[in-house]
Amino acid sequence: MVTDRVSTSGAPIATHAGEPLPPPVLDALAAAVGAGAIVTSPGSLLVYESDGLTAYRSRPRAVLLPQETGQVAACVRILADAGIPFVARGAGTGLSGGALALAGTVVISLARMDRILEVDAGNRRARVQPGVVNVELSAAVAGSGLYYAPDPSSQTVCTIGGNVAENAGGPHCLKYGTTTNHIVGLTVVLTDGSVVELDSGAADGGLDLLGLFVGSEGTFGIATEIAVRLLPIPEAVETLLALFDDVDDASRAVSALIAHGLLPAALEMVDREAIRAVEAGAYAAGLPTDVAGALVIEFDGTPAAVRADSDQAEEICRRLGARDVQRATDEAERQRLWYARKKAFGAMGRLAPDILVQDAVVPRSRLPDTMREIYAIAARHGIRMCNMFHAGDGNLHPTLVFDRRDADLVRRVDLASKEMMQACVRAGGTITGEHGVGYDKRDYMEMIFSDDEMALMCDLRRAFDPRGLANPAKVLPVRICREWVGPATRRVTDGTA
Amino acid sequence: MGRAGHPPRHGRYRLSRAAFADHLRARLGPAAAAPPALLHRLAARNTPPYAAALAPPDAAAVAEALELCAQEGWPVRPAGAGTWLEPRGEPGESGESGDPGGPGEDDTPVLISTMRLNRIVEHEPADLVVGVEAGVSTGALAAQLTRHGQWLPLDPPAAEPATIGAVVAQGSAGPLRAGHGTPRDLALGVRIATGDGRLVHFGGRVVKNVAGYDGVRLTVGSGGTLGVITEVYLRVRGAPRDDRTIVVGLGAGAGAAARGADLALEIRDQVGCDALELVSPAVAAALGLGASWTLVARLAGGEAAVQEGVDRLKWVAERASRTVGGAVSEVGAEPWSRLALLESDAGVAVRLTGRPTSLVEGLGPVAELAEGPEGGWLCAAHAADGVIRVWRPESAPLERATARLPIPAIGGWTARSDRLPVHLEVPRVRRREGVRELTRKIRAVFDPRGILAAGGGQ
Repeated sequence: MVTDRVSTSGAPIATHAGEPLPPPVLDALAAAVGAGAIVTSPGSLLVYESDGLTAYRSRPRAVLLPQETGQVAACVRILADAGIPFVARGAGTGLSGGALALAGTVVISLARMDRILEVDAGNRRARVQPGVVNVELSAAVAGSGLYYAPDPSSQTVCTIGGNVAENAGGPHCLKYGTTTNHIVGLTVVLTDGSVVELDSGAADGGLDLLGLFVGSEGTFGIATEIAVRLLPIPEAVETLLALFDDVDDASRAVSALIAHGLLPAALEMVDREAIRAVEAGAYAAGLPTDVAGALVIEFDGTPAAVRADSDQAEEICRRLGARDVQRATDEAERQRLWYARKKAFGAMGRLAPDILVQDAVVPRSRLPDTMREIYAIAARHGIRMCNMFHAGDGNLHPTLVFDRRDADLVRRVDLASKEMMQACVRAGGTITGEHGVGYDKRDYMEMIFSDDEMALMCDLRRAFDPRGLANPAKVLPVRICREWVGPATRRVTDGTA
Repeated sequence: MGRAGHPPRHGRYRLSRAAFADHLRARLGPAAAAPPALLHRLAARNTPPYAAALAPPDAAAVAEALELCAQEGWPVRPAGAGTWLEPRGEPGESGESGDPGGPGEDDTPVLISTMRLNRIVEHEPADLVVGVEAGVSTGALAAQLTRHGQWLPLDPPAAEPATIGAVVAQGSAGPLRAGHGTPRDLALGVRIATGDGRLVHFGGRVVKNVAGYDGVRLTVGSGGTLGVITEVYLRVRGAPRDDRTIVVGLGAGAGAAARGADLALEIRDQVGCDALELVSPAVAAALGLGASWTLVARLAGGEAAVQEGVDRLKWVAERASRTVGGAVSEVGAEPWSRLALLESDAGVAVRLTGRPTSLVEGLGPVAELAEGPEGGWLCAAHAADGVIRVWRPESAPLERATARLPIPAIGGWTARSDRLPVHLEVPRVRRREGVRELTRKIRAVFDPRGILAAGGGQ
C-alpha cells in the first residue's frame, strides 16, 4: 500500500488497495489459461506495480500469463463479461506509465508469448508473438543475413509487442523509421474478445487500420501475432565520435549534417554530464570529461558509400568546431565509441536514486536554441540533468536526476518537465517522439491538440473499445475521454511503496 | 465548427439539386466557385455529372462546404486537380447537371476540389521537411525542393497538374517505393476537414511523433472517405548527387517475364535499388527500351554509392544474361517520367499484390494478357515489392458494363481497382466481419452523415 501524496496533474487523489477478482471470474480465467498462469498473491503482484516509469505505482488485481491468441481472447472475453478493465504488458520497460495497472485493472502479461512463429527470409518477413524480445528476433534471423531494424535502447529486454503498442523508436530510426514502418500485419484481440487481422489496406483499398493500431498504447486491443519486415544486414558500418567544447557547436553540426543531405544510420548526442557519469563507471571508454558534448555518428551501407559519407561528416564536424573526431577501426572500437551513448542511462544511477527520462521532439534546425532553453530551465529549477538523445531526429531526452524523498525537488522536476515540453512545442515540436503519452503525459496533450481533435481521438478509441476496458485513462486527458471512473493513481514521492 | 445537425436522410433532401447548388454558392461566395481550368478539365475528361463544383480558397472554407453538405446529407466527392477522377465512359454528360432533381431523385455529388489550396506552408531546408497545402501540384513541390537541392522521393503515376493532396489521399506511389516507401512512410502530418466540417490535424512537422493516435497513416490512402486533406507535411531528402538507370532486356513471352522476376530478386538481394521495375514489352516499347520484357533499375544517391551499386548490378545482370540471354545497358532517366505519364493515362487500372518470391506465379497470367491477342493491356511490376499493375490507357477503353480483367484467379494475390471498377476474376480479399465493422465505425467518426462514402475515386 502506498501513501497518497501528490498529483501533478491535478487529478483527484485516492487510495485503492485492489479488490481480489470474484471467484467465478477467477475460475473462468483458470479454465482459460490454467491456474499456473494467474498471479494473485500480493507479493508477486509487486513486480507489476509499475513499468519503466517508477514514479507511478499501482497494484493490479491479478496478472494473467496466456500463451497464445486463443487464450488472450478467452481472458479478454471473461473480463469483458465481468466489466473488468485490463492492461496488456510486455517487458514493462515503457517510460510513460503506459503499462501502469490502474486500480481495479487486471494485467495481461504477454511475456510467455515469446515464440518466433515463422521466418520467410525470401520475402524478408517474420511472424512473431508479442513477447519476443526485440534483440532476440534479430539474433534469430541473422543467419539469413537479415535483422529487425527498430532498436529502442531497452532492446535487450523490451518486447516486439510493447514496441508495437508504443511505436517505439531507437537510435537507428533516423534512417530506418520507427516501429510502424516495420510492421506489416497484426492479429489483434479486440476488447470483446473477438480476433481480427489488421493490415495497411494498401492491397485492397481499405483503411490503414494497422497504422492506426500501432502506437495506440494498448487502448484499442491486444496484438497477439505480429508480422514484421526484416532488412538485410548492412555490408559495412562506420562509427565516428565527434567531441565538441560547446553544445551549441554540436547542435549546429547536427543541423549541418542533415541539411547537407547526409543520412546517417544514427546521429546521437551526449553531453558533458552524461559523459562524466559513464567515465566514472564500469564502462569508461576513455573519453575526455572536459568536453561539452559529443556526437556519435554512424553510417551503414556499401563500403564505398559509408567511407565517402563518413569523410564528409568528419569534415563538417571539424569545420563546425569539433575538437576531435575519432573513427572506429574495428568492432571493439565501435562499441567503445557507443559506450558514452548506450551506457549513459545506466550510469545515471550513480548520480541519484531516481531518474526521469523526458521525451520530446523539435525540428532539427531548432536544436541549438531548444537545447539552450532546456539547460536554462534545469538551471532555473536547480535540477541536475544529463542529455543523451537522438539528435538526428530532433528527439530530445533530457534526463532529470533526483531523489523522490525530497518532495520539493519532485515538484521542481515536474515543473521543469512541463516547461521543457512547452519549450519544445513552442519550437514547433511535440511532447513525445517514442516513449508514448501513457499515463504521464495525458495532460500535456492539450499543448498540441484542440478539444475537437482529442474528442475525435476519443471517438476513434470508442470504435475499438466502446466500454473503455482496454488500458483505461491513458493517452487522452480523462476530461476528454471519460471512460475511467475509478480512482486516480498517486504519484510516489516518499519511497514508502 | 460544430457538428452537423440532423437533416433528412441521404436521398431525401430538403432542397432540389439546383436549389442546393444555389445555397452553396450563396453561403460560400464566388471565391469558392470552381475555376474555369478545373471545369474544362472535368469536361475534357468526361467525368460524371456533379451537383456543384467548388474550389474553396482556404481550409476553413473547405470545412464549411463540407459542413453545409453534411447538414443536407448531400454526397461529396473530394478532388485535387481532377486528373484522377474516373471518366464516365459515355461522351457528353460531364458537367454541372441542369436537371433540377429533387428529393430522393439523385445522388449526384458536390465536387470539392483543393486546387486553390496551393501554398507552400513551410519549408525549412535544414529540417528536410516541407509543409504544403493539399492543392500544391506535384510539379510545383518538386520545383520548390529542387531550388534547395532536395527532392521528395515519390513518383506516383500522376502528371501535372495532379496535386500532392490527391497523391497522399490515394496513398499513391511509383517505382521509388522500392527504396523510399510510399506516402505512408513519407507523410509526417496532415490537416483534414472531416465529413461534418471539423478541421483537425494529426502528426506534425517533426520526423518522430507518437503523441495521440496515428491519424496520419489512417488518413493516407483513405481515398477521401474520411474527409478532405487540406495540408500535408512531408519528409524530404537531399537530392541525389548521382542518378543512374540500368536496363536489362529479357525477350518476349511468359518465360522472359519469369526470368525477369527471378533476376529482380537476385538484384534486390545483391544491390538494393531505389527502383526496380519489370515492364511488359509494350510498356518497354513506350519507354523507348525495345519491345521486350525489361528490368529497369534506378540507383540514386551519392556518387560512390551509386557507382558501387551500378558496378554490382551490371555484374549480376551480365552473369545472368550469359545463362538466360538478355542485354544489359545504361540509359538516361527518361523512362521513369515516361512510365509515370503512361500510367497516369490509365482508364482502367488494377493492382495485384502478393509476395515478391511468388512474382513468377502472379506474372504468369498477366504476361499472357499483356502479350495476348486482345491488345491494349499494359503491365509493370514493382518487382522487389510484389506489386503488379495492369492497365489500359483511356484511349483503349473498356465498356463499363463489360469491363473485366480477363485473367484467372492467382492464389495468394490480392487485387484492387485503382480506376474504373472492373469485374475482377482474380480473388479479392474478403475483409473479415470485424474489420468491416471497425472500418464502418471509424468512417462514422469522421463522416457521421456518410456523405463521403463514395470517396475520391475509389
